[in-house]
Amino acid sequence: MRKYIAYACLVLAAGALIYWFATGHHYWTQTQVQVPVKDELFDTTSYEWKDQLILGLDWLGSVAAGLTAVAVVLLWLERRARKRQTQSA
Amino acid sequence: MALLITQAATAQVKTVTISNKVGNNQSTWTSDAPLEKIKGTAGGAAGRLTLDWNNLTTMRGTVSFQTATMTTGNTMRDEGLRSNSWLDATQYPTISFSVVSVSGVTKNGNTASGKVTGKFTLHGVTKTITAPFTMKYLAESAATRKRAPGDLINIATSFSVALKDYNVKGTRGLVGSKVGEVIQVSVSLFGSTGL
Repeated sequence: MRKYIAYACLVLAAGALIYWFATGHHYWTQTQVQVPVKDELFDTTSYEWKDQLILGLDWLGSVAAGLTAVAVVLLWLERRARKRQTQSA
Repeated sequence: MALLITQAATAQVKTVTISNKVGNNQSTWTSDAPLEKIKGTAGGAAGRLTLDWNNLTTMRGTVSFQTATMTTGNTMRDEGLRSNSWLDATQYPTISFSVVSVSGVTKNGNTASGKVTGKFTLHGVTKTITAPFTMKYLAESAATRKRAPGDLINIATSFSVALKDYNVKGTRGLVGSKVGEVIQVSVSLFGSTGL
C-alpha cells in the first residue's frame, strides 16, 4: 500500500512540474497576465493586466518537492519493512 | 520677403499633449534572463512635444512615465521593483526622455519614421540614447473627435536599457540570472494638439 501511495506521489510531483512547464514555467506565481488590446483608430496594440492565477515554481516546486519527499520516505519505510520480513523469515 | 512669409505660413508647429484620452500610453518591457523571462509595463505617461508635421526634425519635448506604476503581474515582485533595491520609485518617481534631435525622417502618407536622439533618465542617471521611431499623424476629423479634440498622434519607439548603466544593481545575484542585464523597452505614446 505504501508503495502505491509513493508512486502516486511521484506521479503527482511529475504532473506538477509538467503543468508548471506547460503554463509558461514562471519562477514566481503570476496573479495577473497581459492581455493585448487593439486600438482600431491607430491600428496599434497595447496591453492590459487581467487577474489570472498562474502557479510558478515557488508554489509548484514546493508541492513537487514535498510530494517527492513523502514518496522517498514511504519507499524507504516499505524497503525497511521488507528487509525485516526477510530477516525474520 | 515673400519667401519668408511663405515659409512662415507652411511651418505649423503644434504642441502635442500626451494624454490617455487619445490612447493607452504605455511602456512595455521584457527582461530575459536564463532562469526567468519577465514582462512588465509602466504607465502614468505625461508630457508635451512640439512638432511640425512638415519638418519633424524640429520635434522637441519631454515625456515621462511613473516609476510607481511598474507592473509585472506579481504583487511581491512589483513592490520589490519599486523599492530602493531596484528602481527606487520614492527617490526617482519618474522615468523620462527629452528629445534633443530627430534625423533620417521618411514619410508615407500620414505615417513617418526616423531616429530620435534624446536624454533618457532612469534611476537618477541621464544618458543620451538614439532610437528608431514611427509616428502616425491623424488630422482632426469626426472619427478623431470621438477620442479628443485636435490632431491626434501616436509615436512608437523601442530601445534597450543596460541596468548597470543606470546604477540599478538589484538584489545580489538576481541580475544576470533571474533579471536580464539588458532590458528591452517599447514605448507607445498618444497625444493631441487640442488638449
